[in-house]
Formats: sequence, C-alpha cells, structure tokens
Amino acid sequence: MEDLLRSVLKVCEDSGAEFSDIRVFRDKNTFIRKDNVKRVLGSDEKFFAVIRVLKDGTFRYATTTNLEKRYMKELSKKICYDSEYNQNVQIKFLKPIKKIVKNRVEKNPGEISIENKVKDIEKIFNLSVSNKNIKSAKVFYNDYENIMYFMSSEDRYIEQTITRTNIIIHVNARKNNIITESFESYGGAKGYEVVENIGEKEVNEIVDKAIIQLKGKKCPKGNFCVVVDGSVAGVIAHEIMGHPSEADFVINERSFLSELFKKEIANRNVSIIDDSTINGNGFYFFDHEGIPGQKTYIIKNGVLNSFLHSRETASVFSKKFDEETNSTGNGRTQGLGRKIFVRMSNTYFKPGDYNTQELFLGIKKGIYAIKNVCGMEDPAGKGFYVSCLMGYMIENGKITKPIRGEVVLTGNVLEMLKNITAISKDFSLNPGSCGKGHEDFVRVGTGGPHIRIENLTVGG
Amino acid sequence: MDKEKIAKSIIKYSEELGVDDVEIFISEAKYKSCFIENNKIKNLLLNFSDGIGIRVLKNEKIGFSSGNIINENYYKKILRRAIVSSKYGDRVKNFYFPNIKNKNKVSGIYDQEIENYDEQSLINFSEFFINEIKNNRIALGRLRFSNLEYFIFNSNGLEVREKSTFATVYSNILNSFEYEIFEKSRTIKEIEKSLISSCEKAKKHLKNYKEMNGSRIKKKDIDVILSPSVLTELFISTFGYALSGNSFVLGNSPFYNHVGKKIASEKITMIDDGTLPKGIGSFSIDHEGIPTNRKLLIKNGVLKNFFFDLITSCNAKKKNIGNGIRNIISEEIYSSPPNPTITNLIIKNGKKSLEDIISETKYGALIEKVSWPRASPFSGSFSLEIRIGYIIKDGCLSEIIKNAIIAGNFYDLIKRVEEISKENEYRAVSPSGFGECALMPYIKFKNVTILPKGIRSF
Repeated sequence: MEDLLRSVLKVCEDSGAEFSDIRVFRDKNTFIRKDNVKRVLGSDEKFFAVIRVLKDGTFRYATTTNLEKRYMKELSKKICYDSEYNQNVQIKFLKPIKKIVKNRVEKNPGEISIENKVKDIEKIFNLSVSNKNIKSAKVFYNDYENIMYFMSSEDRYIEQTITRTNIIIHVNARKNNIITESFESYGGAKGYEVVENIGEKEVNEIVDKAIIQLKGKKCPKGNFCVVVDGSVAGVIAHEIMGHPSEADFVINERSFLSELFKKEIANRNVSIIDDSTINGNGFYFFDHEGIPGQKTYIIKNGVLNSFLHSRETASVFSKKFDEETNSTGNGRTQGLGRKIFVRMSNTYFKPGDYNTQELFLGIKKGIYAIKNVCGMEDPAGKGFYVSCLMGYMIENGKITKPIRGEVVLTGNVLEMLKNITAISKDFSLNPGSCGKGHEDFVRVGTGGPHIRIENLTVGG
Repeated sequence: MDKEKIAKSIIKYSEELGVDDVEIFISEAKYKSCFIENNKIKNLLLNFSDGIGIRVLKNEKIGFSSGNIINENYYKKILRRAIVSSKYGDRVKNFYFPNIKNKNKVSGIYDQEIENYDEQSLINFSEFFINEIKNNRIALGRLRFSNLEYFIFNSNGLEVREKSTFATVYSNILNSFEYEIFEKSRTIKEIEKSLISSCEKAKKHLKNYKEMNGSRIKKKDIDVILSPSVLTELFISTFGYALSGNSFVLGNSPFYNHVGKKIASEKITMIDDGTLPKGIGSFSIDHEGIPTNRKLLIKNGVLKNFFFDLITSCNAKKKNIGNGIRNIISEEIYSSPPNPTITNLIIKNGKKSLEDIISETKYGALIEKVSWPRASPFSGSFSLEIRIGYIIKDGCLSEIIKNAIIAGNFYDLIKRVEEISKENEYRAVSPSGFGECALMPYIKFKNVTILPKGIRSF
C-alpha cells in the first residue's frame, strides 16, 4: 500500500502540487437489526481513496472507489490543473514519520461467531420486551473495523486500524393512546465487551424510563433551574462550545467566539474539553490529515482557551495573530465524496466537586432533564437547542413527578455558561454522530457529569 | 463494466449455492462539489464511486451484504456473506423479489446538462450564486452536481435501471443575522430558478432583521402561520415515521388502527407521490424495482393508508408498496437494504394567497425558519426555537421575533388548521440522500404557544 500511495503522490508532485496527501480507507461493518417482527443481518465492506492536492493556493479533492494505480494517477493529474482562483492557502510542513497503530479491545468482534452475536442480541431484545407495558423494541448492533492508510508528500506514512462496537436499544411503551419511548446507546472504540456488559440491570433502566413516562405530565414551559444528566451535558458541550470553536467557523466570522479568544466567558468551575485520545465514539490516534489526536481544553476554568484546528485553519491563525498555532488534530472527513473539515472528537464537560444529589439541594421548583435526543448549534446567533428524552420535576430539592418527553432546552450560550452553578463528580460518555451543514457525518462522543444551570428556557 | 453480465453471473452462482431468490442492486455515482467560504470559491471536489448490494432469500429468510469492488471474485464473496447472514434472519412468509413490468415514466428527473457539467461550469455557477446574494456574505456554502445511475436485477427476471441527476446548494448567509439556504433540484434550469427565489427571500429577511424592531414576546397562545420549510420537516419527522410500514408492523404508530378515522382537520389532504414530475423524491422505480405511485394517505382529515416496502408489506399483508428507499443520508445507496420512506409528501394547497391569510390575521405570527423543525413521532410534541419570524398585527408584519420558541403538539395542531395557502414550495429534508421531500403550502394554525427564550431583552 505504501508504494501505491507514494506513486500517486509522485504524480501530484510532478503535476505541480505544492503539497499532496492521500488516504485510502477500508471500512468493514457487520450489522444486526432486531425488532418485534424481524431480524435482519448484513455486512458491508468499502474501499475508497480521498486524494488532496494543494496547488495555486487552493486545496482540491478527488475521491474514488477505484483503487487501481493507473486510475488514481489519472485522477490526481485531473485535479492538478492550473487555476486563477488562488486562495493563498499555505500550510506548515511537518517532519516525516512512519506509524502503524491499532487500538486494543478486550474482545475483537471479528472473532465472535455470527451465531453468538445473534444469540446475545436476541437475549437483549427478549429482556427489552419482557415487561407487559413494552409494546415494541428494536436492537441495532454494529461492529466496525476502520483502516486508514495515509501518506503525505512530506513522507508521513500512517496505518491506523480502529475496531468499534455500537449497540442501540430502543423501546416503546403504550397505554391507551399514550406512546412513550426510551433508548440508550453504548459503545465507541471498544470491542464486543460492549454487548456482553449489557445485562438485566441496563435493559431495565431503559424500560423503566419508558414506563415511568406513561404516568408523566407534559413538560411545563418557561424559565427554570435545570439539572441535566451527563448525556444532556455532553450534547450541550458539543453544541454550545464544540461547534462555535471549530476554527473554520471562527475564521469565516460565523462564530460568536471570534472576538472572545482568551477571555473569561464562563464561571470558573467550567472546563470543556475535546479529546480524541479516550476510547469513546470519537476516538482516533491520527486525524484524517495524519495529525495525532489530542486533548484540547476549549474552555479552561472559565476562559476560552483554544479553538479546534485543522492544518489549514492553524496556518491561517498563525498568520492572522502572528502567533504559532498548530493543528489540534481535528481535521476529519465523513469519507467518500467529502472534504476535510474541522470536526470534534469526544467533547465533554470536565467533572466538578459536587456529589450528584447535592446539585438538587435548594431548588424550589426546577426540572431534571434526562438523556439527550438531539441538539442544534447556532454559532452565529449565540443560541443552542437541545432535546431530551424525558425529565422529572424538582420540588424543594427533591426529584418528584415524571415529565413525559420531550424536554427541550434553549437559551443564550454566554448567559447559560455564567449560569452553571454546580458540577458533579460523576461522568458518562455517550456515542453519537455529528453533521456539518446537515451532512458530512462523523462519529463523535459527548459526555460529562451532571450540571446545574439556573434560569434556563424549557419547552416540551 | 457490464452490469447485465455481472448480474447473470451472480444469479447463476446463487443457484449453485441453493439460494431461492436473489436481488442485485448496483449504483454508480459521479459528482462535483464546490465549496465557498466568505464569498470566495474555496475548494473543488470530484467523486467517482460505485458499489453493489446483494439481498438473498433462502428458506424464507433474507440476508444482505454490500461492497464496492466490482469484480467477479469480490461479488461472489459478497454473495456468500449475504447467504451466511440469511441463515440468521427471521422468516418472512410469502416473500419474494417481484418482477413488475408496468414501469412508469417519471419526467424531469434527469438533466444531460448536469451530466456534462465540468469544473469550469461549476465555478461559473458558484460565481452566479455569490453574485445573486450580493451585499450579504456566504459564510460557508457548498454546491454539488450529481449523476446517479442504479441497476436492479433479480432472479425472477427483473432488469431495470434508473438514471437521475441532482443539483444541491446549501449555504449559511450572514448579514448581522444568519439565514440558511438549502435548495435541491433535478436540473440546472430548476436549481437556477429556485436559487434566485431563495436568494431574494434571504435578502428580504436579512434586511428585515437588520432594520425592523424586535418584539417583546410574552407567553401566550396565538394564531401562527408556518412556512413550507418548517412544515416539511415537521410533517416528515412525524408522519414519515407514524405512517410507515415499519411502525405499522411494530404497532407503535400513534395511528395504528386509525385507518378510516379522522386524525386531522378536514382541510388536510396528504399524498405520497413518487411520480411527481421533477421531484427529488421521484423515481420510476423505487430501490427494490417497484414502480412508484401516488398514494392517498389522508383525505380531508381521514386516514386512508400507510406506505410500505417489500418486507413490511409482506409482514403487514398490505399491498401499498413502492416506497423502498435505500440509505437516505448519502449517495452510497447500495450499502444499506431498503426501508419504507416518504418519496414526495404533498399537502393539498388551499385557495387563499399567503398575503390574504396574513391580512386577515388580527394578531399572530409568521414563522419562516426554526432551529431544527422536528417533532416526536410518538407523541407529536415539539418545541422549536424561532430563527426567522414576524409578529402580525392588524394584517401586517409589524415586528421581527427574536429569542422566542413555539411549542405544542403537532398531532393536535393539524386538527386546528385555519387556512392553507394556495402557494406551495418544494422542499427536501437532507442535502444528500433520497426521498423525504415535500410539496408544501403555508398553513395557519389556531392557538399555538409562543414563549420567550432566556432572559435577554432588546
């Protein structure tokens, strides 16, 4: 593979490229989908290349499923045409490296027989529907082996293999005309142990949330003191600080953070981190530009500490602020047919000092929001939108009546950051997926502890 | 690559391996993208990809596998994998891959001009877009011109192909406020037309948000007019699931056992039409080779039908097929089995113009854009942050809405329809992928809750 990549890059160099890199992906996936009426199994194996050249000050891309040497060489020549659209893009050249890396998992899903996988998924499904109030359940299982062969014209060669396992359990409870839902997703850069660790306790927790909601009231609307669990905290971190700190948004003045670099924007107890080195869904050793993944404090003790960078945005920043800025290892692509953007990895709130129960103390009337459903950023308008599966009322410091989903949280980011008054010690990290412009989906993790936010707008 | 030869060879090999029925889906996608940042052309991207997805039926069990290297040894490997997965599938009684001959001819889904588009044409089109938006800034934009051809064969003699083109523009426009443009069409002519109209709208709303006064919102229930773009996602996120074959067979649709019952205002007539000329969700054949058709889902508020793909129709013992769509979030459609999916959802338009509907509103709101227009398919509940909206006072748009949300239950809301506009717009949900589009009017609803967001005032 190394020789193949080198020969393609040679064509780019001969055709006048100032810089070029190529990544060939081999993605293998096995899936099982089980619900009340069917069990469907399948597998997919894709090979494709994303070639990138820097010529006349612009990056150009070609992506293809045809990996024949001759074809890739022709394609590389095709994107090395002369152009007057010079964007003056420059990148800092890096030292050569050669790395072959593979993540360690407890149990490689590739070594588990389909028969055993089916048996385990059936067991989880049967546990999910064993309660008479549960009318339907779905279990989605996926395991992946993602291999990236990367080479740049700086003689940087990387072979990266990442094994991932994901499982989603979704249930619906029904009583008369009321239908409720509950779900949980598990996994990340882990092995088959993800499935084996799901037992009666985990499934019952999911089922209970659906059943409790049958007795729940609709979510009240207005401003409340809100406590959110780690799942909701994670998506808040992702939407309010992750997206606005993506440096391409900052450079293009689409982010409200453009003018706030190194300024105090949150309470001192708040730190938000993007970290591709932990084994959540957003784990990688190297990003798709061959830069090592790292732990980046976006907010550190209330101060806007760093943006997230690709190689290109780091170069622009270095020039603009006359201060050396390096890629934070956040250059990622969805893959075939997509370019590299600045993207998050695992984004989370750093845990604090409180015991979880202490967060509820002193709240006269508030809302406990549980389990993220989805979220949306608004980096230009300083807003955010997070939808949660369900909630509970908090009355006089105690968790009381259930709220039937959904619970929607919205607000102004900078006000909200100042209104975070307590952060607990606990921590959870959830697998997810993130788009940019309603497409370009990449795997991410989101997480954190429980956090308490004063005066947040709630709807449902 | 001779697809027919490949298919015949797979069918022959599948017979040797004792498969009862086999379906071969091959797709070829070519596209060119241009990325714009700060009103400047930033990157170009060319993509050439193809792949194959095989479904098998063995002992009444279905298996699936896919890949993208199309040579004889590799597709035999994919077939063997599909057979292995079928061993562990559930039985689907009376299932087979049909060969339906009476194929429709859907017009306006292919444009030779897109197929011929070269890099210079893409640059010219991007410049046209930058020029159209004038005085406003395209912070991040992307344009994509795609050709997609797919071929479906099965062991019962089906041999069909569909050639189609797509043009997509997605962009964030800034001018002290942000406006999102998303247009998707089948032809160059159509995308030009819709982009010009979209740019005009963007300029109008951005100007209003710069110049008009903001309204101080207090929590109350008022009459609200929702735009086609908000309604498209609200209808598809709810009815796209609630009326699908999947939720019918699982029994988790809120409208299970409601066929023949009134579930909406009698002003609501809803159709799923896979044959709509020029529609992004239009196909002559769906991704299982079934001719698409026009299905009445709700007539004057009364539920008439659900929509199905082959497997769910078999499980439900219903015939309403033609909605088997593969992978709706990317062009790599071969890599997932089909699912029952909305093609083009049409809400029958009314007789009054939007202008008349606004002028007849004493106090209310017009909501053009919200943060993420979705509602829960199970409960119908929604709570949406308003991005572009106006307060209507005495029949006029008087103030802009900032920092407010609308909330309620969409399944209740469609029982309280006051007016439906005669104007409609064609909207798609996702820039990539297939199906999930709508031809949607403006709809005025009674008593929708609107409430302030946060504690800011301005």
